[in-house]
Amino acid sequence: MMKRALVAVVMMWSLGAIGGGGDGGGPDSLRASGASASLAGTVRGSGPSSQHWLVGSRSDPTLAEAEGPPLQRPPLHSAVRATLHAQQPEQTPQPQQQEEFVPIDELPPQDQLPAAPLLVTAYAVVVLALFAYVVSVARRLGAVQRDLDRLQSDLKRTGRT
Amino acid sequence: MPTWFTPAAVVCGLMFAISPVLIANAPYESTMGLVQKIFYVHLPSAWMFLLGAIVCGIASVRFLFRGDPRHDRLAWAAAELVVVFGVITLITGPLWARKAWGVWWQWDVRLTSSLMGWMVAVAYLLLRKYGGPGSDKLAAGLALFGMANVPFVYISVNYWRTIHPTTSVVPTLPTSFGLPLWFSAVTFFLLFLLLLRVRVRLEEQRASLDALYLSADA
Repeated sequence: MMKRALVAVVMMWSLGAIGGGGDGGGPDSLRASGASASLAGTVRGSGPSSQHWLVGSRSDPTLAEAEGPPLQRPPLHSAVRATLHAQQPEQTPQPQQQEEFVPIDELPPQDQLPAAPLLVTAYAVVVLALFAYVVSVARRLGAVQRDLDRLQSDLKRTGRT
Repeated sequence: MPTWFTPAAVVCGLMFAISPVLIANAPYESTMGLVQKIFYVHLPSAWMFLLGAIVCGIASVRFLFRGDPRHDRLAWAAAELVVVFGVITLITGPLWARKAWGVWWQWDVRLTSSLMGWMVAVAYLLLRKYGGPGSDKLAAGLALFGMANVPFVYISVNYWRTIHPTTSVVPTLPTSFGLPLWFSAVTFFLLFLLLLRVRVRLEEQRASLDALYLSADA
């Protein structure tokens, strides 16, 4: 008897929590979902006629204002909404239309790619590679020349040519 | 050293001093801007890289069929220049690509075949250094593969899908771009000849040294 009552309490609690849309701090994972927010933003950006209740979320402050005061939805309605939310395929957000010019130094560091360091590096590589090769050949040539001179003087000293 | 060496070295030095001025005064390319100026060293070094592979291949063929050690020395010198100019090409190219294409490297046919050609030259040098007796003939055979790769590298951009510019870019260059390019190309060619001569001289000195050691032992 006690067990049956406990199960009934748990079921009521879980349904109530889902139906509350997260206001009560229940297990509403969709509220924290970034996918849900971006989806809402996507549809909202595509025109007012496409605003659908399925993608509306009170976690989005703009949409919450547009919707007005929160509605009392039956728990089953919210459960269906949550299920459909989860099944909605994730869409990539549309790029926003450019409304102003942004100086390149105000971009995040990963989006900035100045050309000058690449150009300077390229020319430095050319100069250094050629210089290193010339020095290398000169040193090898000098070493061989020293060996040649030493051997020739040894041969002269011993009387052989 | 031959009599032409010193005047050619002076001219080459002057041209290397003048070419940055010409390159700086060349106009910016419309889509790539400043980074396109890498072109004036990337392309001439790539040409010298391919020229070195051709010289190495032809000298190796002559060495294989005639057995003349002078051709072997020329092939060895040219292989070293292939590696040097190949390093310059394969480093300046990605530096340009990072800005122009958004990536450092792309495994397309032009880049991959260039890398293969460079690795053949590296293999040639390693074989000459560590291959022991008989490695000169083996290395000469390897140089043939390096030379066979050259036309493949050159025409690859016209026959395969690639993001590398095609060979039609250079003939259609306006004078403002063409003048610094050809000036730089002549400078690199002169430098190639000078370095090749010095490197051959090194091999000649080594051959003289070996001959002296042999005569001393006899």
